[in-house]
Amino acid sequence: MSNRPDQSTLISYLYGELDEQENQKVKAFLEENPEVFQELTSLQNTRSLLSQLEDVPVNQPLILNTENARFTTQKNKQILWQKWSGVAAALFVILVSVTIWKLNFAFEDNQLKISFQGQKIQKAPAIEKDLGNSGQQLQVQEEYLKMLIAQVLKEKQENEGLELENWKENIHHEVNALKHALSQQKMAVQAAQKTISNQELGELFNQIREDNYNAMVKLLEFSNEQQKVYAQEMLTNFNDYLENKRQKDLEVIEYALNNLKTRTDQKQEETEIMIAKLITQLNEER
Amino acid sequence: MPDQTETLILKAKKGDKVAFNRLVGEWYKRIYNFGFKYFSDHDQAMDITQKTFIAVHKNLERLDSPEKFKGWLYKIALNYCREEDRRQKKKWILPFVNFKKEREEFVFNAFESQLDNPEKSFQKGELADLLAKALSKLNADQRAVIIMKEYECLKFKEIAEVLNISENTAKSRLYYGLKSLKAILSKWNINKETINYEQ
Repeated sequence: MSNRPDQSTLISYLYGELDEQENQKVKAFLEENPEVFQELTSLQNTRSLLSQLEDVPVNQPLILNTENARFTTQKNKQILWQKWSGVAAALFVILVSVTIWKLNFAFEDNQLKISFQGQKIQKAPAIEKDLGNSGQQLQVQEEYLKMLIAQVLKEKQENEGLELENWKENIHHEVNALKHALSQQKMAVQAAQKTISNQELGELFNQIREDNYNAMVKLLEFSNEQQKVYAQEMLTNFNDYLENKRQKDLEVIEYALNNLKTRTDQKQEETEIMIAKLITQLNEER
Repeated sequence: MPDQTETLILKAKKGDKVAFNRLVGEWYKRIYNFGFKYFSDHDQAMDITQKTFIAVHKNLERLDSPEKFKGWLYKIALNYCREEDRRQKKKWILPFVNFKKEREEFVFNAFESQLDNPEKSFQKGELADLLAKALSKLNADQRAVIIMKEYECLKFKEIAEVLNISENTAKSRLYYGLKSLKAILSKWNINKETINYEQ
């Protein structure tokens, strides 16, 4: 046939790699030539079978040593960078703290002295190591410490005095309000106790119990019905499944028997041919 | 070809080992599976995959443009497959003539036993094994074209470049390859109907 597409075109058509015009031409040809269409369909079926062969998973590929070295260097660089950035951050925090709290540092007489809020560091009397002269010196130091504590307390009181007063006043108001609320609640409870009698309370409980009982009965009935439906569905599905399975098993048995039959027939045919050949040979020899 | 591959190739060409390793990671599975379908054997597939990427590492600088990488890669892999094929033939013909015969018989018996109980063999996923064996029965050129087209999704132009043939020849090999495969599978009673039944 003169207008029959060549193999190359047919294969391109099979893989959908023809342009629209060519595609239409091949389609038209296939409609007129069912045997070529059949051939292409069989090739397409073979392709479908091939798609059943999936990729095999494979482990991670080899890693070159040089890359490891590179990674190590990068890691070291990273650690170094992190270390120095940590130090810088710590220094920054210290500087900010010093600025906010107005810390004063002093190093006198082999002692590091730190004070807050810009207080001037007063020179403390030196503590003598010699215990022989300690009596008088200890007294002086004690007086000095007392004086320092008194000074700090006085300053604190001055700063916090006003706040304390306000706080106390607020607490007082709050306590009064709570007391008032409690007394009101007590009165309400007493009133309620007076209005509901024991009989009414009993009736109320009975009513609630009856309602609960009815609700439970309804729930159980509903649940029973649902279970029945579910069980019926399950039995039907199971029955269908068994029937399908039986059908499939029968088909497989039939398939295997057909195979066996075909092979037996082939062997029988071969045997017959062999016997015929032998008979012919014997006849010739006679 | 993924866009990332081109970037990785350019970096790897400049000596970036990390980029090269990523490139290997991206194509390793494809080349391994190409080898696996060609030989139907894990060890041989691993062997050619490693050889291919060592060759890529050695010769990447000579690659003109990253667009040609895919074809170039499969060309290297295919050359190693052919080399392995030749090695196998020599190995089998000289000292193991009887062994080869025994082996063929063994393979045939294995197929027969599988076909005796199709449900069992299909259920165990041995269809894939049979398909791989069917592929290995094709002649090397047809097998290579089918694998490159069906599983590696190369264009006909790329296949033609890999095999140093014309596009029409590549299509013709594919056509006859599919026909041969169909005949082999029909002989083993593997067709669309039997597969669909099992599914």
